Parts: sequence; structure tokens; C-alpha cells
Amino acid sequence: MKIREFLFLQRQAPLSAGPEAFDLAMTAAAFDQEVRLLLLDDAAHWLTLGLPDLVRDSIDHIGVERESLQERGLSHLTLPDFCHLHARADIAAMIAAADIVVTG
Amino acid sequence: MKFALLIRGVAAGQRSTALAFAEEALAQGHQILQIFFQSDGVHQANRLGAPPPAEFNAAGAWSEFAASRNIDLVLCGTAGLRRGVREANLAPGFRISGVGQWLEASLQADRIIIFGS
Repeated sequence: MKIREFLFLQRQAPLSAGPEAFDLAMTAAAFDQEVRLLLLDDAAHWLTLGLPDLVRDSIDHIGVERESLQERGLSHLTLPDFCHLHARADIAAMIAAADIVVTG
Repeated sequence: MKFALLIRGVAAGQRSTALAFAEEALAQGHQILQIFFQSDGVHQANRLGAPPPAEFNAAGAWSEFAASRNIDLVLCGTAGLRRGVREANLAPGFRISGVGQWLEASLQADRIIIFGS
């Protein structure tokens, strides 16, 4: 099977999106695709629910935007060591590098 | 170019942007491998919706499009169950499947276009 790099940009808060938001990402991972998940904007609140721990076995790369944390007063959160912090200025390059970008 | 469309929002108002895109893509000679409805997009497959005549009837429009252009309209079964869209009220032209179908199409497509968030 062809391997593509999927980048899932999650922007919605947990109350808006719900677990359904990650169905596509988890399915892509189950099909052995390269899957990167990036939490932006209100999706930064997923960290408070322990999302990274839930998906770490499936998703190849889990990232959070630094500015999204700062703007929501979440900078005090301790990220798991497998969770990457990205500057807003770096997001465009991540999008450009992906084969498929899925926003939600 | 081969397109796969992912529709995650509810069509409201007079027109569906996704449907307009699909019609125009075909008119320009492109190919649409699949149109996949997920999240709130599954509401567009409910044939029991009865908007006033002056408003856009998404299920009816998609059914007509699928029949005339032989396009595969696939519904996420899990999202459909959550929202009460199932075989019993599925509009013609739609079929229920899983997210794996979307993934297969996305691996074959040159471009994946997403409508709705």
C-alpha cells in the first residue's frame, strides 16, 4: 500500500469536536500511514483531557502549537516527553511537507 | 486530476459548495473517485429532511447528482448512527461504509478536498 504523510490539524475544543474528530487520524494510522497530529487554537484544551496518552501508540507525531497554549493560559501544562512543541511560524512548513492535510 | 471529497458540515441555505465544486470539477474533465460524508455531513444523506421548496434540499440534490454522474457517495456508518441516519432513511445514491473507505480513496486521489470542519 502506498504510504502518505497525513497531517491532521485539530483546531476545535473538545466540547465542539468530540472524539469523532480523531476517527480519520486513527484510521489512517491503522492503515500504516505516516500520521502527524497537531493541536492548534482551542484544540490545545485536549491536553487537559490527556489526549496525547490516548493516541500515542497510534500517531507517529503529536504536536502542540506554543502560541495556542500561551493564548489560553495553558503554558503551565507539562507536556509528555513524546509530545512536541511547535512555534506558530513553523506550522506552514509542516503543512507544506505533508501529502494530505486534514483540518478539523 | 483525481479528487476525493470529504464533507463534514451541514449544507444550509441555497446551495452546497461541495456539490458545486463536484459539478465543476467533472465539467472540467477531472475525476471524482468518491465523496465521503462524515461528522455532521451525514445529515445530507437523510432522505426524511423536508426543507421548504425555496431552500436547498441536500439529500435530493446529491441523489440526483449521484444518479446522473455515477459518483460513489459514501456515508460514515458510525457518524450516521450517532445522528440517526441509517439504511432506513438513507437517500438514494448513498451507501453506508466506514472511514477505511475514505482512506482508500485518499490514497488513490491526487487531491483531497474537505468541506466543513
